[in-house]
Order: sequence, then C-alpha cells, then structure tokens
Amino acid sequence: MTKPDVKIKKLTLSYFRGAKGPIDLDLGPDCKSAAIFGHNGEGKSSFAQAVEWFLREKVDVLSGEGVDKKDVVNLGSKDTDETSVGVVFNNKNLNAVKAYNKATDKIKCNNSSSEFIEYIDSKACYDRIYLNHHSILWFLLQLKGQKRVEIAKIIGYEDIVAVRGTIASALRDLEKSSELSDMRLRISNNDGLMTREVYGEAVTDTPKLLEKSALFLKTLGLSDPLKTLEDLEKLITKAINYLPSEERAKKRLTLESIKTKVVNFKLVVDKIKPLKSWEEKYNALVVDKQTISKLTLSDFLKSAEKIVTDDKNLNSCPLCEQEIKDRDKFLKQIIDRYKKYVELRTQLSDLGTELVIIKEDIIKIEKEFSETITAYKENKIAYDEKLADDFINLLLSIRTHLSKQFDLREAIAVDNVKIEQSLVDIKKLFATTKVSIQSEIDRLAVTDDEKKKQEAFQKLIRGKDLVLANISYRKQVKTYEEQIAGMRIIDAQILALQNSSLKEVLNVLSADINKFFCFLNQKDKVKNVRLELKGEEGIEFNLDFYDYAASPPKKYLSESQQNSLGIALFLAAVKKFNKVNKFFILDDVLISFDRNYRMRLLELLETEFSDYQIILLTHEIYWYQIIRRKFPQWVLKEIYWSFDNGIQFKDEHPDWIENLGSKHKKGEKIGNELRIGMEGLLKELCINLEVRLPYRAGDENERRTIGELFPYLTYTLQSKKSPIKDDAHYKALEVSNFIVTCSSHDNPDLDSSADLGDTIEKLKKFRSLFLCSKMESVKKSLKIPGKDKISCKCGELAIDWKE
Amino acid sequence: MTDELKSGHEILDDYFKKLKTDPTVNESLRAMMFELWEQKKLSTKTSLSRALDELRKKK
Repeated sequence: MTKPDVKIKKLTLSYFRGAKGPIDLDLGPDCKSAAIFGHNGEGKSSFAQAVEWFLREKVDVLSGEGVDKKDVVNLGSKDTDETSVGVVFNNKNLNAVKAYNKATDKIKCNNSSSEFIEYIDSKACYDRIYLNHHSILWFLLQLKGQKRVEIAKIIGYEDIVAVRGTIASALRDLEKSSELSDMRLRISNNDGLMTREVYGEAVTDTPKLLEKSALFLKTLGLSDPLKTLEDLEKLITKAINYLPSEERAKKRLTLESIKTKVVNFKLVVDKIKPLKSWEEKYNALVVDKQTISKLTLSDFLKSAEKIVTDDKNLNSCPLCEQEIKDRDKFLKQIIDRYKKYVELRTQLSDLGTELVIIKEDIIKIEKEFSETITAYKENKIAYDEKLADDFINLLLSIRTHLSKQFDLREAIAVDNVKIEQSLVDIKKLFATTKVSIQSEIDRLAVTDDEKKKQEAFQKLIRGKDLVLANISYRKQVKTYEEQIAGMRIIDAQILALQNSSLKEVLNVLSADINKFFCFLNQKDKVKNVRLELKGEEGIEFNLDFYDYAASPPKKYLSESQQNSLGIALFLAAVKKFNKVNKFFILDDVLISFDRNYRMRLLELLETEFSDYQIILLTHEIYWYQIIRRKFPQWVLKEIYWSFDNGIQFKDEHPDWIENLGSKHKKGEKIGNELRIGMEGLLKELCINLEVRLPYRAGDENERRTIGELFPYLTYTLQSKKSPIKDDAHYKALEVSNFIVTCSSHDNPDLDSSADLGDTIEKLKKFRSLFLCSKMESVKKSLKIPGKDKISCKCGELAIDWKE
Repeated sequence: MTDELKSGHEILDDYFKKLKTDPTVNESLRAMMFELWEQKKLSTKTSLSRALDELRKKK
C-alpha cells in the first residue's frame, strides 16, 4: 500500500465564500506549511472550506435548514463570475479546477483523468484533512453507537459497518416476515382441522397420508394399491363413481322445495279473505247511483260557494239563476251538498287503494300457484289439471271483474261461494300431491351406507388438501428457518470480525491518541487514554484520571482537556489512516486552550508531523506570533476582508518585529500589535526560562501585562547570576516609555506613546539576547553540561545561568 | 491506511472468501452471499432481500 504523499503547492479561490476575485495561497514548490491569521469574520475558514469542497463537493457546515449548495458562491459576485477552487498539487496529474455553475447547480471539473477520479472518489474521501473548533468536541459528545460509526469512517471501515448493517437488517426482516408467521399459523390451523375433523391426529407426511387415505378408500369399497400421490389422485377420481348419484340428490332437493311451496300455499291463499268485506263496503257506497253520478259537481259547488261568499249583493243562484230569498240558507245548502260529495269521493278513493292491494295479492296467488303447477309438470307429479286450470281462470276473472266494475262505479258481484269451494278443492289437491311428493322424497333419501361413503369421500379429499398444504408450508418454513439460521451465523461472524478488527485498530489508534494527549497535558494526571469497544455495537473513550477510571471523558475532563483529546484523536487518525493526503488543516482549534497547551500543540506538530504540510488558521494574535517565531520557514499570512474586495492578504515581513517596523513606516497604527508581540515574547521567555510568577487561575494567567512579566524575568536572571539583566539592550527596553505605557491591557494611547520606531529597534536588540538567528529561544532545560550556561536548541546562542 | 492494518474492504473480502467454504452455513446461501459481495451489492438491503426471496423460491 502506498504511503500518503499528496501536498498542496497552490490553492486558488475565485468568488468562493469570502473570496471575491481570484486569491492565491501560494505554498511554494516545496509545499510549505502555512499559518493564516485573521480576526473573526475575515474569511480564514474560506480556505479550509475550499479544500473540503474541492475534495468532497460539499461543505459540512453548509448543510441543514435554509442552507444549500449555492451558498459557496461569494455574495458580492455577479452572475457572470465563476465560483471556482483550483488546486496545484505536488503531483501534477491531480491538478484541477472545480467550478460551480449557478445556472445548472452542477460542479464541473477540468481534470477527468482516471488518476484524479480515483484520488477523489476512492482515496481522498476517506482522509481526515480538516478539524475546526465545531468538530473537535462533536465526536466526544456522540453516543457510543455513533462513535463506532464515526470511528469506522475514520479508519475506513464503513464497508464493514454497512455490510453488517445490511445483513442484520435483512435478518430482522426474515425473522419478522409476515409470510413466515402466516404459514406457521396455517400449519397450526390445518393440524387442528385434521385432528378434529379428519384423522383424529395431525398427519405431517406423505406415507401417513397414503396410509390414512387407504382406510377411507376401503370404506368406499376400493382396495386398489396406494403407494404414491399419483395413485391417490387416480383412486379419488374412481371413488366418485361409488358415491350416491348427484342427480338423485338434486331431485330430492327439488321435491323438498316443491313440498315447502305446497305447505306455504295456505298462507298465500289467506290473502284473498279481505275481498268479501271490501265488496260489501264498495257495494254499499255505489248503491246510490244518483249521488255517484253527481260526484263531479263537487268542484262546481266549491266555486259557487266562493262566489256567494265573496259577492254580498248577489241575489240569484250562480248555477240555476233562480232568485235567492234567504242568502244564509242558500249558502248552507251549497256547503252541505259540497261536503257530502267530498266525503263520498274520499271513501271511493280509499276503497280504490284497498282494491289495488287486493288485486296484487290475487296476482301473487296466481304466480305462486302457477309456479307450483309448473314444478309439478316438470317433475311429473300427477294432479287434477282441470281443477288447477279452473282455479287460475277464477282468479283471473275475479281480477278483471273488480277492475271493470270499480272503474264504472258499478256494483260488484263476486261469487264468494264458488271461491270458497275452489279454495277447498285446491287445498285437497295439494294435500293429495304432498303425500306422493313425500313418498318420492323418502324413496330418494341417502342410505346409512351411502352416508358413510359420502363422509369417507369428504374426509379423503379434505384430509389430502390439508396434508399437502401443510407439507408445502412446512417446506417453505424450513427454507425460511435454514436461511435465518445461516444469516444468523453470518451476522454473528461479521459482528465478531467487525469487533476484532476494530479492536486491533483501536489499539493502534489509541497508542497515538494517548501519546498525543499526554504530550498536550504533561502536568495533568490523565493517562492511559484509549478507545475501547463498549458492548456489541459501541465505542467509547476510557482513561485514567488521577488513577480513577473515567469513561466517558466528559465525566471528569475540563473543556480544554476534552479539546486536546479531540485534537489528539484527529491527529492520530491523520497519522494512522490518511490514505493519500500528507496535509491537514487546523481551523481555529484553540478554544479554551491556555498558553501552555498552545505551545505544546506546536511542539507536538513539530515533533510528530514535521513531514506533513500543515495549514493553521487562527484568530489568536498571540498564537500567531508564537507560530511566526517558531516556524519562520512557513508561509505566514495575515488576512482581512471587505464586502467589496473579498479576502485579501496583508503584505508582511516574515519576522513580526520587522513587519511591525514596515507598518510603522507606512504610517499604520501598530501600538496594540507591538504590545501583544512584546507580551508574547516575554511570556515565551518566561516559559523557556521557567520564571516563577504568582499563581493565577485560568484565563487570568493569560492576562499578565508586560509591567508584571518584566520584573519577574529580571529577578530570575538575577537569581541565576545571568549578566544579561545588566546588558545595555536589556536595560534600554526595561526603562523605555513604551513599556511603562503599556503596563495595562486597557490602554488606548499606545500609538501616541514615545517613539514607537525607537522601541522597535530596542525590541530587536532585546530579543537577540535570548533568541538565536534561527529564532530559537534559550531554554532552562537546555543546560550545557559542565558549564553554568543554557543554550538554544541549535546551540548557536548560550547565556550564563548558574543554578 | 498504514501498512500494518487491512482496509475494511480487504477484511470483508477475506471473510467472504472464507465463507464460501464454511460448512456451518448452507451452501446456496454461502454462494449467494459471495456473489452479492463480488457484485458490490451488500451495502444496501434491497439486493440482499431480493436474492434471499429468489433463493427460497428456487427451493
């Protein structure tokens, strides 16, 4: 496997995030590391996001609600401006420019070589290249299951996690299959049916089915050999001929039906009874023919009543024009006549309604009778045909007579005696035929022997269907169960494989995490940091905190310790698992880190990652100054941003003091920067010479002023009998107006204090007392053996130092 | 990835090669799983579930 070796020579951003016109971060042909300083909001992260977008075509922080792909475009760009990121690598085959097309929402790339595609799709995507202050703690705060997923991603084990997930999920589906449960239920139901209704027990195989079927066939009178299911099918076909005739059964059912009709006919005939009373009522009403004939006068009388009522002066009848002598009497006569006719019409109307029902009942009797007689004929049942015809004709003639007489309002003369006689005759006819029908039904009835055969045949068929269905279901269930058993083995094997592989990797990774964490936390009694498997599916950090086992780390570790753990994990992953890239980016990772941590982080990078290309982005001016001094060979940039011009680099000299001198000559205000630089230099010297200072907690320790640091440095030099404190350059700075003026952090008048140009010169000379030409500081820890001297790392500079 | 550790893909590749001859697992299931792995169809459930269905139907 090849070792990672890809580094960046140049990164170019055009209209990407904070960058407006093209801006190059030129890291030189030897792919230098870089430190970029910029205050918050000046666009530092645009460089990190540009690399992320170039490699993955997305930016993690640009996801979620209200954010989309288009947000990589610089807000101040025009529609015609192309948003792009270009990278020149140390391998020219990987050089490419990726551009975002706003109109199509697509990303195009000018390098389509297979080497580039493989680099992007199969290698770079797995590398850890970017850590920012958001993501440092993110991993630590995840649940153990999610930590496992994330660690799998870091170490390139997503395949194992994905495959195991697929297998586990498919296995769950198999185990919970509704088809499987349904088949198991059917088997159970069928076994129950076999026991209760067919065999008295559950039959589960073909030999037993044949054995049981042979017994049923014997009942049917068949003793042919039965060795296979084909034999059984043939014998079932044959057995049908041994059953009672189907035709006989059908005929018996028909006769039963006719018998029911005959029995029910009496109920139907009863419907004719109301005819007689209706006839009497009707005839009583129409007997007064004169009144009936004047029924039409009712409307006429109603009109006359209205005329007489309305016209008070009327003196002759509106109908006959005779003189009206007594108006009230006349009106009463009209109303009485009118009421009589209306009442008569109502009675006739009611009788008409009743007649409709009576006629419908007669039609029903005709229909029922005709159907019964037709069934008699079809089934060759003997009956008195004349009697039947007379009855039908009688019913028809009654219906016709009723309709005709009612329409004419003439009296009805139904021969009720004849009707009664006819009904008696019909009842007799049915009684006679009912006996012969019953006799035929009895003749057609199934014998006990036939019943046994029928039952045996039914059980033969039912049993065969149930047993064969269960054999089929059992086979399918067995297939399911075999698959489940096999998948369980595979699932368990892959889980074991996943955990054993992970354990091996975690041990390797943990060794570096522990090493880096302990390097960053030298004075803390936190040790033995390692990632361990938790249960079957989880991973968690474990560590010894003052000899107490601590897991998860957030239980005991401070925020800065957790941060350093996050950085240690990232760096260990970079070192162990990056496939191709020999560079990484740390974007403002110093949240809550004090000065000691910051120095140690730089030392860690120097010690363990000297062959890596590192891009540090920071808004911490102190740290940036330290980086400048520690890594003068790096590309060091300060940036600023404006909406109109986007991100821009400041021109600067690699040496911060020289840089301030240039700024001062240009007339820029440098008072505050000079104070910060001076403080940084003094703090670095205090650390390296182990100057003892009064204890201060937390951030207060960081807030020591030049006025505090200088006396303690002087005291230490004095106690170590170092003559430097008496050096003219040392004294010149110690008593300068600038030092006196900036003894407080909150001093707005630094730029007006004394001559800053003179102070810069004094500062350079002061620095040269402690730092060699390679900007390495003398250190108390670098004691020259046998001499009362300490030196810088390279040995170029030494100072007197007597313990 | 460093030299001393195998990648996830390599680990799985070794596993599925061994599975092909694992007598504790049904032969047709072993063959099916190996084929799916070779065809890179084990990263989602769809293909596996379908293949299991077909295998049951064949029986």
